[in-house]
Amino acid sequence: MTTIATDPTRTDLAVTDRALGDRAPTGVDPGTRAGAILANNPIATALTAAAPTPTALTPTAPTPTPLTPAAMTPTQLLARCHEGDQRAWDEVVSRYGRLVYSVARRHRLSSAECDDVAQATWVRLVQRTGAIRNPESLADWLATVARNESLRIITRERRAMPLADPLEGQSADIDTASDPAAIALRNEDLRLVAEALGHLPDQQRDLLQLVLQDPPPSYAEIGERLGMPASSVGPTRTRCLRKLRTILEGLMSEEAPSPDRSAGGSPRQAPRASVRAVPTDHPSTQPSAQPIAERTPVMTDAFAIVRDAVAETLDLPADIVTPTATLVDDLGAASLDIVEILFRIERTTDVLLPFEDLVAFVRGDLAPEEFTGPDGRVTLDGRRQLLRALPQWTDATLPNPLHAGDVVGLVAIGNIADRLDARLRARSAAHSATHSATHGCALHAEVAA
Amino acid sequence: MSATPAPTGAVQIRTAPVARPGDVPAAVARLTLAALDPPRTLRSTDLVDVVTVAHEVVVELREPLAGFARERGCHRVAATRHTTRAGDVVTVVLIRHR
Repeated sequence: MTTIATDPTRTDLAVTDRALGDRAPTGVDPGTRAGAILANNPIATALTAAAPTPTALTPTAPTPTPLTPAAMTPTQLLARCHEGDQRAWDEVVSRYGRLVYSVARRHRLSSAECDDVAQATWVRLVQRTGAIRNPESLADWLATVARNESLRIITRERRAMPLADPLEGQSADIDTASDPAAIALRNEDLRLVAEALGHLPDQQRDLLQLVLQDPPPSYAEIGERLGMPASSVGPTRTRCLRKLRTILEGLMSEEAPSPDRSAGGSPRQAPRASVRAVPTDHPSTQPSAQPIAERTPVMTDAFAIVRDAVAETLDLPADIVTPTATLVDDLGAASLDIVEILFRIERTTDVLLPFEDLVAFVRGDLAPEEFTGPDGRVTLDGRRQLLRALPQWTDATLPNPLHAGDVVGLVAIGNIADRLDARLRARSAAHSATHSATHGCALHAEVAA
Repeated sequence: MSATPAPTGAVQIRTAPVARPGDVPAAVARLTLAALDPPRTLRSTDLVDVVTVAHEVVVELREPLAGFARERGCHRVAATRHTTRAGDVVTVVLIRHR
């Protein structure tokens, strides 16, 4: 059994405390610290000596006992955690650690996977201490995050299961292993994949070979081997797989007219054995047959596009990506994930939704200094603008104080879908206007003739 | 350093405020060492590489500290940094797998 240190890194923090000057050190009771300052201050000592000594009859004012972490409410604990109080963290882990672990265990994950869930959950809490909407429901929040993390692991496992060989599940009475046609087809698949891999740059090929190892190495290990940041491995992998699929489709279309291909009776499928992580039938990765600008964009379209982009990027089941779920708080997106999500949306719709646009939408017409005060908090005007831009929040539910850095965490899936919907409608309107103008000119020319 | 039995058995969360953004790597390295609790010979911040990009913090352990961590089931050191009213706070979350 491992232990949780209740005393913070006192020796480590000593340096920080000196650097902090008058800031209260972590883990030290404010009263104790005040007492230490008093004792070392000659003026204060003299004043104390001059003060009348209280007699036994003088009623002494009850000294407020400092609240120990064990006696704190979740809200108080979270506030202390947010300020970097080690004892508060120890209390939170002690109070809710079993809950987090039990949620993971309930999903029948292995011991190591439960540990991964626990770590991810605590990391999420560390990142969101100042932005949890209802701190009193910390237990619910932790349980939800742990459940989502567990589902994420389960989904990843499901996706990582090698897809059945294209011929494997066709019929039990066909011995595919010894069927010459099946062997030839499989060899052909492998040849195509090998050829497609040969078209990739060396680094991308190496990366794909690494991520397809079983068990796959961690992104950190892959990044180390390839000399790239671990955070770039995921997005690069996605791009490589997409590029590989395009190459494969190109190779297959070149060879498709071959008459032997159709001799088997069934249409030729893309070789899937080596591109297991790419859901080829996913709507967001399949270019729509009809340009989206020619369709009448409706909100559900925009939401579906955003939902798919979020689910794919964060590796989450689509059903938990609801319009009210916040990207950062509920779904655990990091800043790089948000950029990736916007990038996916752009690839699917050709609509550019830059991150800056999202920030500008949240900030409205307010200048940065009007939105954020000198202390880094969102101003009153900023809060009013937020309530207009993000109608799912009310003055009561909006965190107070709200730091500018936490604003992105308030954005929900529905807000992004709204933005996308507005862009799609604008593009559709522009397209219709262009069409009408062209048509009008043609009519005019006809009349003139 | 006092200790409490951990119900989950493996969670280590270490946190500390930092005075300036430039102090973040050193503080994260110190907290990582405190969470790992290696023997004195391995207790060197030179063995902890910390890279910060905006508010993302990436921690890499060098050998022989990395080997020590692996032996104790520490697969990943997660670190994060956030801003409070008083300044920046860095936190390290570490799990010891059984």
